[in-house]
Amino acid sequence: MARVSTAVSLRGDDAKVSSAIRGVITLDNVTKVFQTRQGEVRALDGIQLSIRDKEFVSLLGSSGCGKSTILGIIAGLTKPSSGTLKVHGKSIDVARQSHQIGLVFQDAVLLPWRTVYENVALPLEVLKFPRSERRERIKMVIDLVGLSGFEVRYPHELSGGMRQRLGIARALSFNPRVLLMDEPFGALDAITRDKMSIELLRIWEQQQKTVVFVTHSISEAALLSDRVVVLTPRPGRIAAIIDNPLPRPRPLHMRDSAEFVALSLQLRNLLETE
Amino acid sequence: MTDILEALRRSLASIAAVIGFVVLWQLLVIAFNVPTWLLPAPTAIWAEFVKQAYLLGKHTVTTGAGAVSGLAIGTASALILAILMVQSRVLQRILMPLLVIDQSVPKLALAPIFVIWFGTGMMTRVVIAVVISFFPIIINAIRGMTTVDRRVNDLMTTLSASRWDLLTKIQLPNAVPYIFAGLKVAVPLSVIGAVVAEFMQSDSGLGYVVLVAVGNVNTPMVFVSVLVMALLSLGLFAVVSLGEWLVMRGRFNYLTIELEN
Repeated sequence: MARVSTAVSLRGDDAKVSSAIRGVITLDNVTKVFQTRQGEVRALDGIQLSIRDKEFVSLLGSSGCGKSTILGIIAGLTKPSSGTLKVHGKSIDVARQSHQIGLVFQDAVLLPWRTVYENVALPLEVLKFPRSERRERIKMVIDLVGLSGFEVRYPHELSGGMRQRLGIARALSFNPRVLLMDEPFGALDAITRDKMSIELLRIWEQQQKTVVFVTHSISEAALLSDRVVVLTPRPGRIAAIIDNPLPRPRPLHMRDSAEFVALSLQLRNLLETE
Repeated sequence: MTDILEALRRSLASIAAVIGFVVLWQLLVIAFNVPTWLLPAPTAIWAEFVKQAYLLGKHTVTTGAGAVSGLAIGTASALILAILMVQSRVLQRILMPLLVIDQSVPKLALAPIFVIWFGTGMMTRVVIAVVISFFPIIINAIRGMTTVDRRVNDLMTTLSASRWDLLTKIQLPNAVPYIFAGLKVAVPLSVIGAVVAEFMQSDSGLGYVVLVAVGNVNTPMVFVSVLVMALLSLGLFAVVSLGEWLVMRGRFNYLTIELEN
């Protein structure tokens, strides 16, 4: 499957841009101030972050720490009040033109009038992929996330976990280089959540994407990521960036290991010292 | 099949209530010897219906044609304007207050003016039906197109989707259940509009039949005509519901969840 993906993947422009640059996403001294009725709210303050190619980075923090705002900035949906953002060394507007960013939301955000197949097709239709390539890519990502056989079902007929798989398939459909995930498993029950974590690791290893993963779960961040960016709220600041020492592959039972527990403790302490 | 039986079982009580009401009506008319010109018995109404079926059919077609063309034109223009308004914030800001004012005008009171402008033929019927069915559809269509999940818009933004894509792939499909809800409100209104036009002055249609029947003190015919208007409304409503069902089939959660929230 991975081989199929590389065969159909690289659409001209993004092949050239990549590997030379180390940090594929760099935020340089980014701040974000929101105007509210109560006055100015400093959502982000002096965010300095460089995300490497094919890296799995978690943004960990309680609600209100601005982690979703960072994601919005990387996606080019929110303009930073000051500071700069570069994606593959280019401004976000240029990066968006080459379609390098796939979004995954908390409750999947699917189109209820479209079937599984049609939901995955949406980005490909918008990006005007030729029909035959479209079909090939849809089949590939549906297989990849394990939704084969459900192509003609509607979202409301799927379980929470399957909807989330569909959300991931849609984000991967046009083969973006970066996957931005905003608490994608936040609405799932603990068992499904575990299963999806393992699935995500498998998909990430196969697809070789850069993943920015927003979460408020310490164990999720510890299990999944290469690096954990710990954020503290009011104003949203980076408290620390922790290299995850845990070896890969990471099965679920790794969470019982001493190293994992130590890492979790370290993250928890960082979150609590504001 | 079991669905139909289940639906029947559930509506059994209301069917029984209707039958009970009609029987009671009949009994009271007989018991108190109410004259037919005042309140005809259901049997008298039925007899009139059977006697005048052909005539009623002919005039129903006229009224129905007026209502349906009015509804069609009203819907089409409401949809076009809704699409334009959703595209342009400025246009929306200018037109939205006008729409609210438009809704506050009792449009049936304008009927005499329309008669002056458009005469007593089919035209007035259609115009009133257009004017009266326009509002519920445009309001629902705008609501349907603008209540898109913000994150869906985000998704389309990251894909640099064109306005056309946003309109055809997101906004319009999202508005479909809302538009049907608006249509269901507009259907009976369009029939009312057509009938009111006929009340003003005309030589055909169910409204005309009522006027003539009242002139002849043929009360059963008045009742029959009103009954047929109701059936016409109901029939058009059924057509819209069928269309809705065909479009929504298999996506029923979409229909119920989106609208009930």
